[in-house]
Amino acid sequence: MSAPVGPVITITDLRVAIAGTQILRGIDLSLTSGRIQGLAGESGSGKTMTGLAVLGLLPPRSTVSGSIDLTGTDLVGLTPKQMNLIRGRRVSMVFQDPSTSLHPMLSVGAQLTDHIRYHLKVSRTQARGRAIAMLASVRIPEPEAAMKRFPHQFSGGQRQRIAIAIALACEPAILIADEPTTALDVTVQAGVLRLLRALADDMGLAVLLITHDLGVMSAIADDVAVMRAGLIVEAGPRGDVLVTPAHDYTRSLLASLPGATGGVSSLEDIRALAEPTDAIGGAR
Amino acid sequence: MSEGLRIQGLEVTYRGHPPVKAVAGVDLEVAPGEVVGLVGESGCGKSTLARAICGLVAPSAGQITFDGVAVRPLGMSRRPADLQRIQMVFQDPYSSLHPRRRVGVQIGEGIRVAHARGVSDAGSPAGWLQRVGLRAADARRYPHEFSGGQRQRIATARALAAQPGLLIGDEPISSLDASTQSLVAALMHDLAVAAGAGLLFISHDLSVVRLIADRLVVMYRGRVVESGRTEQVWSSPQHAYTQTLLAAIPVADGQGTLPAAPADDVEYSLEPVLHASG
Amino acid sequence: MTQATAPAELPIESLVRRRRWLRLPPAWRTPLAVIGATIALAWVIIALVGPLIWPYNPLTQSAHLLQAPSAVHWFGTDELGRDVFSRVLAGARVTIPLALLLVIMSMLVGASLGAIAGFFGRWVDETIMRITDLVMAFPTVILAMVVAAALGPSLFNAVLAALIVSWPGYCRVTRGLVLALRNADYVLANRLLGYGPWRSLRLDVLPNVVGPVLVLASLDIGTAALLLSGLSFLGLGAKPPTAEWGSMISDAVQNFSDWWLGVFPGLAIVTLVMAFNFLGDTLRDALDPRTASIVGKAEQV
Repeated sequence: MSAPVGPVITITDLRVAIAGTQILRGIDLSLTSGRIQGLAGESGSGKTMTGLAVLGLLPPRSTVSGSIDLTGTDLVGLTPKQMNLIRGRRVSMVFQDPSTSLHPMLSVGAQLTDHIRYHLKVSRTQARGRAIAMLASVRIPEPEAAMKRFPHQFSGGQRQRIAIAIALACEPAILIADEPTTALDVTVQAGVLRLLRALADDMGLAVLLITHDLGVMSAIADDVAVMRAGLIVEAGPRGDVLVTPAHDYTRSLLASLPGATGGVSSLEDIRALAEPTDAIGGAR
Repeated sequence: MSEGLRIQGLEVTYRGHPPVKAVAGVDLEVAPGEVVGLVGESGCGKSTLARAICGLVAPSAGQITFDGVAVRPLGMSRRPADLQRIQMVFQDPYSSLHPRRRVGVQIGEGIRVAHARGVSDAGSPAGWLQRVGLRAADARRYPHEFSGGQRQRIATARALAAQPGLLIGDEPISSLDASTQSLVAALMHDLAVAAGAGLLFISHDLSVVRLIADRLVVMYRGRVVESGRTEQVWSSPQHAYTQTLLAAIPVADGQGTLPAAPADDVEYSLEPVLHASG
Repeated sequence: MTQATAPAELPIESLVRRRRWLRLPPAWRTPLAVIGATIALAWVIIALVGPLIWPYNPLTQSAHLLQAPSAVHWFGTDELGRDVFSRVLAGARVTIPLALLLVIMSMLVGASLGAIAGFFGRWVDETIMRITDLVMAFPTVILAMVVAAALGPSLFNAVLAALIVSWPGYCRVTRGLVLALRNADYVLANRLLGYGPWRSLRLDVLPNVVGPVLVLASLDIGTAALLLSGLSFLGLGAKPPTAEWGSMISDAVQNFSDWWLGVFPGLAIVTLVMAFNFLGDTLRDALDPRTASIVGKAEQV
């Protein structure tokens, strides 16, 4: 399937309230194939909710307004049945915790083929072949044997790769990755980050990378948007946002990171940050 | 003159088929006022080591002494007063504080321990809250009213209020937002050193640890594979595993550099490399 | 630009929104909760003020035997001429206090043993759990019947028999909860601060176990009422002439064509048990941190 040109998803003025509390206050964002869009922010900024909103996975009693345009279709206001056809087939998601994002009692092969057969309506043999190819492309060793094994028999990093394989099995154009490497060891994380970058480059996948870790952003994101309290306060190419941030909040996020531009490189630097209590408001 | 923590030949084996040697022969020392960073990835045994030092897990071989007193496993008995000088800050800020008690009361438990040992000026909950960067009035609030970073500060206050000679941080910053991690790490460093206590700071993230630690110890598969002064280990790591660990750290410099990924299933030598005077 | 809003309000939600005094926490605002609470409250009030409202003395016999419901006797009369309506109201004064008593006692006995088993582990745990297993191996009602029959028919003995079969459930559940909590970080942190095991159990573990156990108890009230009525139905509980729903239904079997003798006490049991079940479900939803507050979920953004 050839990748479309131009933005594949455009989010305009997305506002979400949950049980009366305003979580997102007007988000504008777009994803382009072959590019990784980073969405950064601290806990409570609304970045995870943005990802969930695209897939229609918000909790009950949420109100959504604005538009999420997926090459012509507005995802806001679709019925659950219509969203089911989109999820996994055109837009997919990978979550943070690999130990709970896979079904513990189904073999890896079953999880992959169920998914493929539901969306692509192919025969069992074709689905199996496709599943093995997916496992190979995420570099799971011995994919044929892996099909019969269960999630608990794989390491955390491998489980995350399997989750990515399942997410991409039906060739969606868009992948939303919510803190995909936060729960992984740093050496394992490096492998998964390289995989995500390769998928974007080679498959033309459009990726929304949600994470609080600006180091991860810096490694693979092409563009970075910084969220705070339900709004995007700064957005732009990675090099601009992380090296010459325009907004104070972005600067404050970078200020406490070792190795970042304007970041800390010694204990004295950290102490200088901690006092006086910063303008953002009190000790975090 | 207090000796601090001394660990010799420690082994901890978990029962199972086959039995798992979580810690397979570790020697470690932490002197009073010294900050030691213990790094390694999942399964290397660093958390098990921390729990063994506190007596929460029984060793199967080896010796742990603190200021000359042998550490005995806790079991179902009250912890002896001299061992209460070893305190710990846990990883998960959402389960390390009692959910239904005000934070001032919880810090008060630490103060009570110090008083019981005869320490005269153990401070007050309000005082400790201010020392960790919160407000005195926060003593009346409950843990759920605070953010993760703030809860770790409260947990640090509780541990330090007991006037420990050794503070262990078991991945205390790993569950926090990246922007808060270095702040909390520095806080633990400064308060521990000011109190004359040793700090054993366990983490899988080297980039923050190296800013606060005097020495770095790298664990792999239950053993120490490299140890030495922080600047030495950081700038010229000798062991292949340490080198891999350092090369895999992503840096937030905006350059788009992909961190180096080791090949799957690579095994490293278990032979330790000890830098001189480390 | 499209707008997607929440589905249209139910009438009861509209009522709650307009009347401020009905503004309860989210879990309580469901029709289930309101119905359950209303009926349960009604029965409790009836049990409390029974003698003031029943039109006839439940024990007074009369010459009007087996009369169908009428304007004079709303639920008719039974084979001894007693007013069924008054007897149904009087039954509440027997069933409700005893069901509550049974639940409280089972909870205290079962939860204490379960907490000790879960916290101390090893042989203490083994011993207590084997005894629990032994009791649970018997079918509940049969064991209760055997005990009640051995002790002799009386309400007190029925409660005792029911207690013997009911405590193991609480024991198991509490043990499970305590097992999960005893290695929680905050429990360990306090052990490091010198808490002995009993102090740890009492201050750190039990307060956080109380919630789910209370939910179990509230769901159990209905079962307790059924068990006691069942024992009375079998002649092992309330003795005549006490008005108790189970024994009233038992007596009604003799006069099967006089439908009012069994239907009204039966309805009383059904409505009471349903009401407490609804309440128990609501309490469980209210205490479950995931359903109790949607805003809690929003914090995980």
